[in-house]
Order: sequence, then C-alpha cells, then structure tokens
Amino acid sequence: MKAERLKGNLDLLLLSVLAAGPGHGYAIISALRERSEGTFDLPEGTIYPALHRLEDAGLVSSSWAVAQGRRRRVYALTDRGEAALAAERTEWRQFAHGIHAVLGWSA
Amino acid sequence: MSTPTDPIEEYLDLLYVRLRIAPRRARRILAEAEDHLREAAAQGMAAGLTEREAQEAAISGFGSVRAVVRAHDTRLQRLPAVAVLRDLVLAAWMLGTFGLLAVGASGLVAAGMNLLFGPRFVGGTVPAGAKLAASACQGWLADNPGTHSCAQAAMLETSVDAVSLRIAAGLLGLLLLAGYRLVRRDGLPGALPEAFVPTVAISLFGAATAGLVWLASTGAVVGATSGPGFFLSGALVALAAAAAFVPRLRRALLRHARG
Repeated sequence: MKAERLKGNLDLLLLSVLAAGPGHGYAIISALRERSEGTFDLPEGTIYPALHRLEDAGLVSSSWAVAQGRRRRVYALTDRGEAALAAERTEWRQFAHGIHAVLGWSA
Repeated sequence: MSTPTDPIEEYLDLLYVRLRIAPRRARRILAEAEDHLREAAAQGMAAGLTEREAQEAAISGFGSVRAVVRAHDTRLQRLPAVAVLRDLVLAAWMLGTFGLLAVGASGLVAAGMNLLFGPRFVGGTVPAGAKLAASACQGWLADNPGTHSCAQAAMLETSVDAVSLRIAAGLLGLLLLAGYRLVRRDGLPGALPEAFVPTVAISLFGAATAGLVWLASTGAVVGATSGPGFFLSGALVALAAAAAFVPRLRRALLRHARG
C-alpha cells in the first residue's frame, strides 16, 4: 500500500488501536501491523509524530510510566478521541460502501 | 552501560544532533525512540537474533534518522519554498514599515531638539573653508527669507528638513502599516521562526544606533551642514525601536524552549 494513502488515514487507525486500551508506542505500532496483517508497515519512528499530533488535538492523552527500568510514554484515548473515532468510523463506512458499489464489489 | 559501538546509542546520538526542535519535545522524542528501539531489540533477541543483529533490525524498522527528523519537524512538512519566500517578503515589508515609522519619529525628536537647543544643534554649522554652490545658496535664502547669509540659511534648511522630510517618511510608514495589517489579517503562524523578525529588527536598529552615535561623535556632516542633533535624534529612536523588540524576542525564545 502506498505510504501517502496510509498516512491520510493514520489518525483513524491509531485511534482505533487505542480503543482496545491504553498502550505505549511500540505496542500501538505492533498492534497496527498485526491487525492489518502486515499491510500497514510504515517506518515505526514516523508514527510517533501522529500520536503527538493526536495528543495536541486532545484526542489522546499520555503519561510517563516506568517499565524494565526505562521511561515510556503510555497513550490512551480521551472522551473526545472516542467521539472522533465514532464519527470517523461512520464516515469511513459510508465511503467504503460507496467505493465498493462503484467497483462492483459486494460489501 | 552500553558499549561505544552500540548501534542504538549511535542512532540516538545522531537523532539528538539532527533534531532541531524545542528541547522539551526533543527529550521526549529521544526517550520514546530509545524505549521503542530497546523493546524491538529485546523482541529480536527473543526470536533468536544476536544482540547486534537485533539492534540493527530494530533501527531498520524504526526508520532512518532523516525520515524520523522530517516526520517530527512540522516546519519541513509545509511547502517551504513558497511559504518561506512569502514570509520573507512580509518580514521585509514589516521591517521597512518600522524603519519608516522610526524615521518619522526621529523627525519629531529633531523638532523637539530644535525647540530645546536651537536649530544649530540639528542644522550644524558649515565647515570652515567649505564652498557652497551659488545656486544652492539662492534656494536656501529663498526658503528662509529672514536669514542674512548662505551658511545660516543652509543650517536652517537642514534643521527644518530633518523634521519635515522625516515626518513625511513616517506618514509613508503609516500607509505601509495599514497595508501590512490588511495582508496579514489571517493571523496564521508563518513558516519563519517566531524569533526571526525581532532578531533582525534588534540587529538592524542596534547597528543603526551605534552608527548614528559614531557619526555624531566624529562630527560627520551630511550635505552642506548638519549638527550632532541630526544624528542623535535618529540614534535615540533607533535605540528605542531596538528595545521595543526585546520583549517580543524574549517571548519567542521562551515559547521555543518550552515547546
């Protein structure tokens, strides 16, 4: 999949992963790769700016935790993030339905 | 403690050097990158890789330093050429406007000096032995009918011009200011660093202050005649203008440091 196309939908994907529960960067990125069955495989370091952007927008919160003697940032979905995710899911479902219909695939 | 050739340490060192963003944000990025890389390397070792292989695989998956720096630097993600050029033009417009307003203000200061110290402080005296062109003398004497000599008329002409011409420049500055506000009413943050304009302004006005004080102290003459007040009126305003930009520069630097 083209990286640019993925980047355009990265926020939705990250919010969706975080809907399963809080997690640190490595866990979020691993979950994204596993849930997409390896389809979404961006350079891992470029996903952190998206997490920071979501935090700046108030859709995600984060706090420091200590694990294995290292500080790590743990991210969680906020109420605003949950609402944004629900709205994005609805919009994406309609969009996918339209694409499927045009391409002649059954939904 | 990691060995000096630890690839993750080397990667983080390079990332640290290349990240040109606010210190607090940079520290967070480095902490997250290290945690991510160590975690990925541990997973690789658990899967049977050697420590070095696992670290190199972790770095490969994380992405090149260049890609990571680019992803974090929002300024690089905008269209730099157009945005920077537009902001440079606007910055030059703004600085030119402030320059003209400062010239206008120096005209008012020169008027005050004329009142307080007499016109000779700004107008100066014609240097001994200087030859004044007859045609110029005619013009000065016509403009200043109460004067008795060409030298006196030249002095008065300078003292009056230092006020009127500078105030005219200030009025032009007001027009440019109105135009600038019209163009920048979107209020959007620019592509240039916030500290750019105050830094340039303080440098230019500071240099102008030093230059004008030096000219006044050396008794330099502009045109037929000019006194120390001719330069000091400008130096006082240039100093005030430089000082006026200091709080803005301080705010910009503090905001940058806090991220």
